[in-house]
Amino acid sequence: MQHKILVVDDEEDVRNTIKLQLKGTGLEVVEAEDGKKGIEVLDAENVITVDAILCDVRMPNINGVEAVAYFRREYPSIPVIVLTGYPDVKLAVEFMKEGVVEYLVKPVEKEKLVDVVMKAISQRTYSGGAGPKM
Amino acid sequence: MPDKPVTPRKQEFHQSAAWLLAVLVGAVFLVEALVMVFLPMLPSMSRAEATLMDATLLAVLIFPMFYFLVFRPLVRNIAERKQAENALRETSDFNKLLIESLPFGMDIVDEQGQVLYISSAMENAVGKRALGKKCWDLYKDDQQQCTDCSLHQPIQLGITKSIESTGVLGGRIFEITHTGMIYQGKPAILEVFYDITERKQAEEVLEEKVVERTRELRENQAEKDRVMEQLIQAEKMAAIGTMVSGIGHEINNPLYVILGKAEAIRDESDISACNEHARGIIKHAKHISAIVKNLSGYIRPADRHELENTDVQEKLVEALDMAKHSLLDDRITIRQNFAPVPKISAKPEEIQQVFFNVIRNGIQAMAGQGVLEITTSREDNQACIRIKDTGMGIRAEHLGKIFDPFFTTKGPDEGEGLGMYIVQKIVNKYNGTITLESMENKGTTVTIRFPGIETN
Repeated sequence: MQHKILVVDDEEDVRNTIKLQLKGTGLEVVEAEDGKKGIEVLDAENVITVDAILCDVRMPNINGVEAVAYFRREYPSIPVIVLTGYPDVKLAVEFMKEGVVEYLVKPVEKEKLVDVVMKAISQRTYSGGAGPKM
Repeated sequence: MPDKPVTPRKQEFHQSAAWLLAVLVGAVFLVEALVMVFLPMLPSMSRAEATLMDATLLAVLIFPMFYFLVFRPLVRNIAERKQAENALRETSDFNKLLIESLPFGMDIVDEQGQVLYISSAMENAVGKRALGKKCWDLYKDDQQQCTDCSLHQPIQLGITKSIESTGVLGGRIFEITHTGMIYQGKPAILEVFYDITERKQAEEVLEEKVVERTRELRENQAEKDRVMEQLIQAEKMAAIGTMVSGIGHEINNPLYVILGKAEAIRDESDISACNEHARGIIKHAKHISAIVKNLSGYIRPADRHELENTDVQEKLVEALDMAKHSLLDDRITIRQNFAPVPKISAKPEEIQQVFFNVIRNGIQAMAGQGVLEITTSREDNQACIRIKDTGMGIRAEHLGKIFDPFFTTKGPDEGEGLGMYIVQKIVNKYNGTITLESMENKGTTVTIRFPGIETN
């Protein structure tokens, strides 16, 4: 079964770099250019098919902090990885409290990214609470 | 041999005796004159009868005249004198009592400084018999006349002079007033002694304390100035730190792209694909270079001490760029409306710090969403800058404290509350003004005015 990952980042070059680094893992990458778009995509997609979310922090419209809060609240079974160029220990702690599986600071090496993403996917659960709250 | 002087009492007596004699002689003469005039008209009398009539007339006329003209005035005189003497005695007793009860010493000395009178208080202080002695012999420890003593000049009646004398009655300090007067018919000086030893000592101690306190205050002020300078620098560094972390984010994105493309080149065998990746690396490396170049323009290597002709619009733009780097997101709309303004004479980095602090506060107040409007305009020869946000505003009870040092409504990790204090300090330094208008949940407008450089 092909796994799917949602990548949320406002920089196209960054999204392309992630796709480049995940090439060869067999993962399908779905893109969103900000938090709002990310939520729309998640709500529209068959939620069962998204196995992990890779989310930036600094974005227009809905920023990463709010988007991650939404993801964790509405889709708690989907693991979230934060990938940001904004190194902030306090922010990292906040995200960990939200339940993100990893807080990565750009630039991230290919091997590291692949390792974290695959571990996250393996934590994906599919029973009870897998979908949005009605 | 000179005549003995006649006292007033004797004089009075002589006058009254002369009056008595005059009255008697006058009365007798009057009676005899009457008798001589009217006797021929009367029927003839014997010698004895004429003598009896003469005597009777004398008695009838003399006694009343004597009573009314001599006896009664004399008695009244004596009574009045007794009354005057009593009043004088009472006054004298009262004066004596008054003098003795005064809390300072008094004496009266003649032109040679010899004591003619001394109050009990003063005599007790001296501790020995004083009348007839020279005052400096009695009072001065060195028994030398005071150099500025009034007795060095002729006595001036009714005039009071004051001197300060040290080494009196065992090292004490006295203020002595001298008043010229007549005493026992001769020119004399009334001396009043005030012991000012404690007062002088207290003044000395006070003066020392004032000198000490002034020195402390000066040192404290110098220390305060040093601390304030350090705080301003620390606050500036904190602001730069915030900005730098924001810039770190901007550099990390292109670095990530460079890393990814380098990894791709490493794993790629297709030359054209590698070339494509290499072009991407070059592009993003240049982007990083531009960011760093901009950054070095914000942080000046060392504070210059000279004032410069500063363009406030330029500083506003720089401050805005710096503030944007510390934004977590850019959902804040920035509106700029710059009308020409005069340049101002100031240190450019301080003006930039003022604008950065105000803009940063405005952005933080908007919690990531809102409109920040910056306008410049010329008012007379002043550069007027308005920074308006649509944030949470400032509560009325806080408005008066907004410029107080360490006043802040942010959390403990979000600033120490020196931003606006430093803003006001810098604005005042350049003779500018800063005012705030705010409405809760509506927003805040900060208006800053600086005097422009005068041009001829």
